[in-house]
Amino acid sequence: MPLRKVWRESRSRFFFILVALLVVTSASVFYNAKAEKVVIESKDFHEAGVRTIRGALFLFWGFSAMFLGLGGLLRERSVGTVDYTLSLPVSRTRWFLYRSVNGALQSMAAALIPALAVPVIAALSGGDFPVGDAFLLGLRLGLGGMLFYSIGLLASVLFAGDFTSAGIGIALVFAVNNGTRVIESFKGLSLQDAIFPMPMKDEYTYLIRGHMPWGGIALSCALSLVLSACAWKVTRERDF
Amino acid sequence: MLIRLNPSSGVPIYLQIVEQIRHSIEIGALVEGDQLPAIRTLAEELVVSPNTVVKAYDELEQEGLIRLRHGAGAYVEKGNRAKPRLRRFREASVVVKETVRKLRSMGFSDDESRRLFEAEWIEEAARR
Amino acid sequence: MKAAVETRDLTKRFGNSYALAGLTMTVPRGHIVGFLGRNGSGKTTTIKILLDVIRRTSGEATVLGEPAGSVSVRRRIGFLGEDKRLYSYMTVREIIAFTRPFFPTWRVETETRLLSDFELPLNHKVSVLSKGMRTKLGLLLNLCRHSEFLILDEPSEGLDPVMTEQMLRSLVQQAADGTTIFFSSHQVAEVEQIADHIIAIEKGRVILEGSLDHLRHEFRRVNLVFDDPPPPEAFRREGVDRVIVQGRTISILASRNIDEIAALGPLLGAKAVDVHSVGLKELFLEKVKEDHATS
Repeated sequence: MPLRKVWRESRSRFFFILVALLVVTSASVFYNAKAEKVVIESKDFHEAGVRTIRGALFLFWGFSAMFLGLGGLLRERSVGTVDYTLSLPVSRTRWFLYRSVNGALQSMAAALIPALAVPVIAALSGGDFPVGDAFLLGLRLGLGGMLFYSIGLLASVLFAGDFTSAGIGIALVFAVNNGTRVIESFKGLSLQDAIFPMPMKDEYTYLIRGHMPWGGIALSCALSLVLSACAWKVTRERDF
Repeated sequence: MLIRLNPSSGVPIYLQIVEQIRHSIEIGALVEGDQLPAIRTLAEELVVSPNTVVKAYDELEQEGLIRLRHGAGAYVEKGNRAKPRLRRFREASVVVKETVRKLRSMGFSDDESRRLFEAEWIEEAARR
Repeated sequence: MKAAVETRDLTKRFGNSYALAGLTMTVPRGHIVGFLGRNGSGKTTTIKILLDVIRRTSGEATVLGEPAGSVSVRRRIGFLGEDKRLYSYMTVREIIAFTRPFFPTWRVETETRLLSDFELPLNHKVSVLSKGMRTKLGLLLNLCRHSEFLILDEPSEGLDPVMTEQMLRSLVQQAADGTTIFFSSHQVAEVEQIADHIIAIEKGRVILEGSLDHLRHEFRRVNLVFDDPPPPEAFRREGVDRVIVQGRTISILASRNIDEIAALGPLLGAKAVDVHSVGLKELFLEKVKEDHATS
């Protein structure tokens, strides 16, 4: 089954990323909690949790999602198996579809699972963080950050060689992430702000503001689709 | 079957097979009623294209040396149709035997008879 | 019955050079066809275009009557590449289980038989197999399909003579079952042995094509010895491919009118006339030289 092959080839990378993100998330929660002594006393993990997801998780997940977009037929060419794969009665479009959907789902899981770990950590420390909020924040990250995933996808079809495509992907994610901070004229385009617009917390109830930033998420998804479509086109036309 | 092929000789492989099977029949290594290997089997053994074996068997059948029984294999043909060459050799040796006997009865030694034949052949060649 | 492969004016450009420069050929069904050519002559490029691994620049190519890029035709064919590399993380069992469902004509009896004939270790990962083992595995993955058409790119590359013989034998078995075989090679000897039809290419164009027996029947080398050799032009006529002068001998490679050409010898004063059959290697080398001379 082509889908099983695609999963098989990506699963160790996925599990490694998941574990790494869980570690990062946990550490970040504790770090943020410690930084605000008030929080520890009141056992209120809201601030710490939100900061973690908006900050550390967003950053590390961004690069991870990019990594989950790598691989594919071009990589198989450097390994030497692309002739066999392409000689099978499976179209290039189908291979691309399986790989891109598999990677997108993995990216989503890599956002949701660590996000959902926050309430767990809070509970273990005797505190509290609403699971619903964690889920919504994770969802925001996964959907809004699809752009990072599709950067990896595009890099994987344009550049042969694991290191080249990874390197270029890292550079692009960095540019998207930080370029919008550093360069004045792009200040308004920060993806981070689009997905997690400040202030996040309601001043009185300390609950996360009700509505999802659909505008920012939609834009990110649209851009992501454009990049993915380009990646698909390149895959179809390329000489392997 | 003891067939040795030389694929690089320029002689078509199927002809090499035909020649060697024909020779086997002539010298009696294969006699009437013997079954030849199936096309597939011989092709695998010699590591040649099955089409080549088909061609060889067809040619041998054309020459009347073998008979292809549909679905039941190939068999060496029986009777005089199978060995025209062998029969000619047999007829020739009868002629030679008679001539030698006649020359001896005329008083010629074997050496003298041999020289008579050679002289005839040389003269024959010079005339051409 | 449609041909196994038909190409018409196939070209492929890489940068400024043409790997294929107008390749027109037909691979007939029901034969073992040898695809002969030097390194860099365009054999692998042609095969990759037939499999749609690379895209042609212009021209047409069909496989089993369908366009070369079609997915459905790949269900009816087999392919063994020169690289012979397979998914290193899968075990032998896993890669067979992975491949099997794609091909409706797969026969499990063949799978069982070949697994034991080839002595392939089911639980070993592909990464630990030797090159010979990998070739046998690649062969098994193809032979079990019992496809109508099997394409092989330099199948004996990197194999020892025993393994080569074993491989050629399994190809003959497939051919006996009705599979058309198309294999590329730069080894004339193995082409001469099992192919009954050949296509030879040089610089991306066909230079020799036809049934091997037909070529063996038709081509002859006529050697004429003269005291005072006439100019080579005296021998240029219908059927003559090449005329070479070596001292007192004029050597003529011809595919037709052999008797007429041989008779020319005494007419022009030849002391001796010799007619030889021509092996594939000699024929191929001559055609390559001829191609270089005319281009």
